Amino acid sequence: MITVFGILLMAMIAISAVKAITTTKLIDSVLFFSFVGIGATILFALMKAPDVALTEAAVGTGLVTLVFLSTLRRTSEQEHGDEQ
Amino acid sequence: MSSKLGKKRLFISPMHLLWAIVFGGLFFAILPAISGHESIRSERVGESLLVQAPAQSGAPNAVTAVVVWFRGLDTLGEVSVLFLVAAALGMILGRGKNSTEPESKPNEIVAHAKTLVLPHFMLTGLYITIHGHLTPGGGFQGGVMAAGMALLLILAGDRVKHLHALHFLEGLVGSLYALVAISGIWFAGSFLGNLIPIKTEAFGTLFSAGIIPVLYIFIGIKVGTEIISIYDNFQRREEA
Repeated sequence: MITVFGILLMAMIAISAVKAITTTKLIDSVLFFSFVGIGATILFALMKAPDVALTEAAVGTGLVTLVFLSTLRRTSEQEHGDEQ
Repeated sequence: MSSKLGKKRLFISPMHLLWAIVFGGLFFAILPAISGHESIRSERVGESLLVQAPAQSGAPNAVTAVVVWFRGLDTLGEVSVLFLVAAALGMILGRGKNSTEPESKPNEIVAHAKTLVLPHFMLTGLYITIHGHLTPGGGFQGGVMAAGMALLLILAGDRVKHLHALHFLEGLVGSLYALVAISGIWFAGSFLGNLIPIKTEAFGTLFSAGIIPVLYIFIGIKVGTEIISIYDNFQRREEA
């Protein structure tokens, strides 16, 4: 069920999860976090749980990344305005 | 974050390292107990559910049968939790005099791609919602996908014009879910009872599985409208 590809994917998820909290730029942090969602989606699909994979793809990868990015954009706009 | 904080975002301190070692040790101590555990066959719920679900609910997708048919009450609670979240966010973010500005100068690619991607998004979301009892997916996933279409429009510079209609639809669909559930008491003998008789000869077709597709369509609309209103609240900005 869990092949070499799955184990590799798990390792990449773990690495990017650590990178998401240690990286210095917030946008990198969001992108690493969205990679965790993508990896989890593929893992769920490999483990024959398509319902969970669909939910993870729609919410974990799409929606959360979108909300984070738009919030990041709004807040960075405000900080830019404060500095000037 | 500002540049001062940006330089030192390192989360390494001796206490954190100590906790990491402690929790890692605990995890590897517990691990063999989990992986080697074999429960008694008669105590397993999953296998008997997988056998019973298609016959009792008429839905080939056993996950949907469990979520909407066996545990329909939990789903009602879940949808109300989502409503609570949307209401709380609206209370915090949407108060006072606010203005929703369109995203400043949407990219040329975004502006043109929206007309190309939009119908596909919408169709996929609707398909997943309506076929929730046959194929993987359902109201939650399809609702989020169809809401993704609206979020794309907001990103491409459009605005939610009829916010009241959105909120009305959300409330209407939520009440309809409860209404269908309550009318099950009269017509089928239990809360969330099956009003629409399950025809065994129609097993696996679109118009089957009793009230499951009806409820999943309600859930899909409710989830979609709630996500749009949450995102719209995020887009609002208070006038300084």
